[in-house]
Amino acid sequence: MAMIQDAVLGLLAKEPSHGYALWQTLRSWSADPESIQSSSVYMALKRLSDAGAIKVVGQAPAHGSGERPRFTFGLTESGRDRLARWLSQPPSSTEQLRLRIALAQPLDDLGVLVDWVASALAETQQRLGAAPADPRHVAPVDAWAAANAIALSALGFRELSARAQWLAEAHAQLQTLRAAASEHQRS
Amino acid sequence: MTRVLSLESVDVCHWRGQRPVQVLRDASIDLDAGELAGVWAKARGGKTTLLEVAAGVLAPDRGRVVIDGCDLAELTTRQTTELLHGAIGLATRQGPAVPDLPVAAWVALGLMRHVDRRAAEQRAAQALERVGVGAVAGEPWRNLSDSERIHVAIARAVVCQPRLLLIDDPTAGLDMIERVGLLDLLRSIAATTGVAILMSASDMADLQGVETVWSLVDGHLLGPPRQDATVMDFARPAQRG
Repeated sequence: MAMIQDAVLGLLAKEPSHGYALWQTLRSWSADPESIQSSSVYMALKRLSDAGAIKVVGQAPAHGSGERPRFTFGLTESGRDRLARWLSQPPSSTEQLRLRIALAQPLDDLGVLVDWVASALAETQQRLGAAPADPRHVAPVDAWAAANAIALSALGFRELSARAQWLAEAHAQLQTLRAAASEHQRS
Repeated sequence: MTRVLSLESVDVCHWRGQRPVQVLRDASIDLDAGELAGVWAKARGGKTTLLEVAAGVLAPDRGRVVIDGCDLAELTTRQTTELLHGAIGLATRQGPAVPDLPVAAWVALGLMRHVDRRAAEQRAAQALERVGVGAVAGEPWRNLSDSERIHVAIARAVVCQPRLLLIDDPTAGLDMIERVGLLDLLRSIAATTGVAILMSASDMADLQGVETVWSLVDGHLLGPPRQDATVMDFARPAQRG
């Protein structure tokens, strides 16, 4: 899961941390916490460590006897480079956008996110506009079939419009973050 | 396509008590003849303000409003009034000021500036039939359902054969079947008469089937991709300039 690796890098850039804490934070950010397994976080730590992007910077004592000690990880130079590359690219999904917003720091350039959200919103709005016509006018169908067809298509569009509304709000949120960032830089 | 409405970089600031609220920031929108467009915003999100600016009844703090090629800022008051009465229909849920008036008479009143009473009544009856509420022509506004009210308001707006039809949140309070029927009606009015329609909605799902959809958030109007962008543009790395 490349996305979890990137998210772990983003979290470790803020402060060194250990696997369990990273897992908890990622769960709290996800729209579907159950989908984030602890094993995938530990696997991401192993892969990143093997690739030289992170290294052990400390060791917390174990809570009880028989429990493994907790390793605290931090970024290496190459990890920082990899994170910078990830942050400079547009997100590839709304789930990734959520992560990027959660990881955003005051000094980050949010322009790439703002642009992506605007385009994704435009595309969703366009799909919303391409709704099928009223079935009652397309073919002579009975009232039950027409009502059924309308309800089915409404369900699909409910999902699409929820996504569009979320993107629109995310756009506003990013603009607010951007304004706060420039305040931050001035002070 | 004939351009009917252009808002160019429009700013509007309202005072809500002591606090200034920037309702529109650098908002631009283009609407062609026969086009059906919708704007989504939250409650108190600036929908009505946007429609008022487009209708020429609210002058923006900054930016241009061009209706049918006329820049509203360059017209005299008299010319503006003529343009607003002839070229623009605004449908809201306000209803007639006289509560007991049969809605057919209310629709006809909108025409009496230009035609005699008999012709006005005839055209009002036709307009009510056209939007599917001929049956309530003799009823006063208060006896009408939400759906009948918005249909009557649309009839009153289109009876003058406007170039631009603005409708404020027509789908609010309508059930699923009524919403689909209303949008179908609007599409057919746009296609047959060539009027450009801009409607607002407080639920994005109500804009299902509206050709061009815009979102108004925090004063920013977010619409279709720029002319030079393709639909899937967002999948590629954004061009930063």
